[in-house]
Amino acid sequence: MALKKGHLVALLLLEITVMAVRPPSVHAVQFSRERDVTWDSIVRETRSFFANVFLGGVDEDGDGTLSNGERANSSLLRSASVAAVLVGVTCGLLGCFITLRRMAMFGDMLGHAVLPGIAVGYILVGSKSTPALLLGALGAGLLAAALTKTICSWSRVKEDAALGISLSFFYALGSWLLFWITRDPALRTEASGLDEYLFGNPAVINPPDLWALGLAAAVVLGIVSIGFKEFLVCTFDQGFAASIGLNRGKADTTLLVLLTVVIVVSIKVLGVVLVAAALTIPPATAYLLTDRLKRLCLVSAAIGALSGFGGTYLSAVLYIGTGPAIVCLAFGLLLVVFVVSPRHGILSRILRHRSLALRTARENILAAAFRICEREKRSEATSVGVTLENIAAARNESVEATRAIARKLRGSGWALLRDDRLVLTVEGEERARRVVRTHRLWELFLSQEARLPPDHVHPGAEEIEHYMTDEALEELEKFLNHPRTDPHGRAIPDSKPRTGREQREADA
Amino acid sequence: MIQYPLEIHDLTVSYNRKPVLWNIDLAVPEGVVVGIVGPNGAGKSTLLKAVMNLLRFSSGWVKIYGKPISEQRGLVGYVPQREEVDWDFPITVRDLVLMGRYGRLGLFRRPRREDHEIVERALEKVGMGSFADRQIGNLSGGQQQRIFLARALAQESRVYLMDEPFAGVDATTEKAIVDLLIEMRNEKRTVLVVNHDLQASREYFDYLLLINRRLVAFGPTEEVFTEELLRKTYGGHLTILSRAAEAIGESRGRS
Repeated sequence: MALKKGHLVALLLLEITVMAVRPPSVHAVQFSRERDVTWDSIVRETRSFFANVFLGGVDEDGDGTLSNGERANSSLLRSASVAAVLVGVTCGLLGCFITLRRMAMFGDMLGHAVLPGIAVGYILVGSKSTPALLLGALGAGLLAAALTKTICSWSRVKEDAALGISLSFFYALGSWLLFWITRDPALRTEASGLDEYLFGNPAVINPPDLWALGLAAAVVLGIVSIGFKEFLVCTFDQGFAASIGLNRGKADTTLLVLLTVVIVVSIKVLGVVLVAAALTIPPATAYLLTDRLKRLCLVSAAIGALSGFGGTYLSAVLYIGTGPAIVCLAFGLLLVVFVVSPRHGILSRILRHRSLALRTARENILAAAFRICEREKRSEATSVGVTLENIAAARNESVEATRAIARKLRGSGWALLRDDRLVLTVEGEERARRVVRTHRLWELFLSQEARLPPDHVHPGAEEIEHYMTDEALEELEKFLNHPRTDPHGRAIPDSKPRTGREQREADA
Repeated sequence: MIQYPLEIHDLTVSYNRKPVLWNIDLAVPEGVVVGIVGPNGAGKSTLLKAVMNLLRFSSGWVKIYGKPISEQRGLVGYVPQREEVDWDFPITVRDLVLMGRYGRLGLFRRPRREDHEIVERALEKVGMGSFADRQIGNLSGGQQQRIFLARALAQESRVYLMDEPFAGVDATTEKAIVDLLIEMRNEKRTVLVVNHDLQASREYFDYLLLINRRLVAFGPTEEVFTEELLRKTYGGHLTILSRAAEAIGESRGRS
């Protein structure tokens, strides 16, 4: 991955571990009092989750109507799911630009840095009014961003250190203020639930929160789609962007303000410590799947939505915290994509590598057979064949090893194995001729152009003989002025076998 | 009064108050290809960036056809060094070249068919038409340079500033760039090219701009490419000096 997220992912895992050892009541969604997860409970909770989210409620007491409590439970689950999906989409979309600008750590810093703002908002207003807390958080976020930039531009401290400083200082400040609130008799009466911001809990999402989330999602979607090409240029090539009159500072500021707003509205769902995950994991996953920015944005938003909804479901069914469930699910998706992605996954990389290794092994053995025939001045590689024993001796390996590779030639259409003899087909001979030809031309090139002594040129040629394209080979031959022999004095085979007459003429 | 495509008056540019370019005065006539030549750290790229107003300068002014660059952005195309962007970025060759149209489109407007046609033509011109749908990272260095040039072509500017387009490119690309420069000159466009290779500079450019922090000389290549001026430009750099001498000797021997 080109996005440098290794340390961020490690940090997130650490934070999830820290949260896991806390009593679950602090952050778990309290949809149910039961704690034992069994197959039955999973089935029951699944049915109830989908009925609650999509059908308006579950008639738990079986009286035929939905009581107020049952309705409330349903609307709670529904707003939790909607909130988680909105967070996933918004963060997933914005996260694409953040990660491509290598601002992922900046997102993590902002996530932590909004905490004192929430506390100050609460202290000033005296209640958990959503606008007050969000405005406080916004202020703190922008202040932290300004602090980071100031440290960077007015001292020799580098950006990563400046980010660490802002993150820890603002988080410490926020923890201190929260601690102070819970100790102060006048303040603490209304304060219960403030630590939902610390760890996130979509179960406490109220209508104003949802409005804020929806508004933020609309604003991000609007600005990103209107200014898509401007964001694209400013992210990709800042020098060029400035040269066509785009104000890079303006784009950066827009991105920064959007980022702060999105983080502020997202922390009630994910918590200050996990919000960075929503900004980095879905974009990273999408980055492994596509090579186009528009698709990257769409795929990332979809993955964000999927992990938001799936995480809420998992937390309801498995009785675990929603934030951790969302993040772990997103990470699981990333892991799957990391393995199976068609172009950038490790599985396809391994397969490519193996097919290359197979081709190399096949070509080596064909070339060995070709060389033996050449040495013995016979042309029956295609009729009688060469014994595996001879090939093994030439390749300095055991007959078994040679036989193992020779078996891999089956199905290639290049050679047959008959009575422990390798019989090349016409295509196989052509292939072998080309490999040997490339090898010797390259040796000549190395000794002439790189002025390597003859005993140095073999290893390089052994590599390149499997990779050279037709055009490169042609160019190389032209460059070397159509040579006849390699540095060891051996003839360089023509691209096509000579006819009998040509051969006689050449011999004469 | 003649309006020069590019006129620079008493330009001084500083990094952290340390001047890197001193009192540059320059008036480039229309329809010439200018090579900007000088040792490492002479301020060649800085000069281009200052002209594009990507750097703030301490004194002086720059005018494009008689007006400040902020009013003439549409007339100037800038080709940054290839190393300045992330080639893993998720865009295709076509997307990158389309960026050349963004300056004319302005905010809120989407590229129209005409813009797409210009992009296709630019790609064909640099011989990259068949690569349009590739991700930009899957290209050789020379191909990457060519799509940078295609983007500049799509800008349809009158003045071009190119930062080291010849650096690390293959022979095909070098030829493609030279052909392009000739075509641009025939169309009365004005091109400034930062270049390292002295011998190539002598062959490719109508005018040479020799700088080393200060402007050493500016004029038609045959007048400026002299041992004395090159010695002045490259100052105590002995190896470069000897290379320059070699280049002069070689070209004298040939002609």
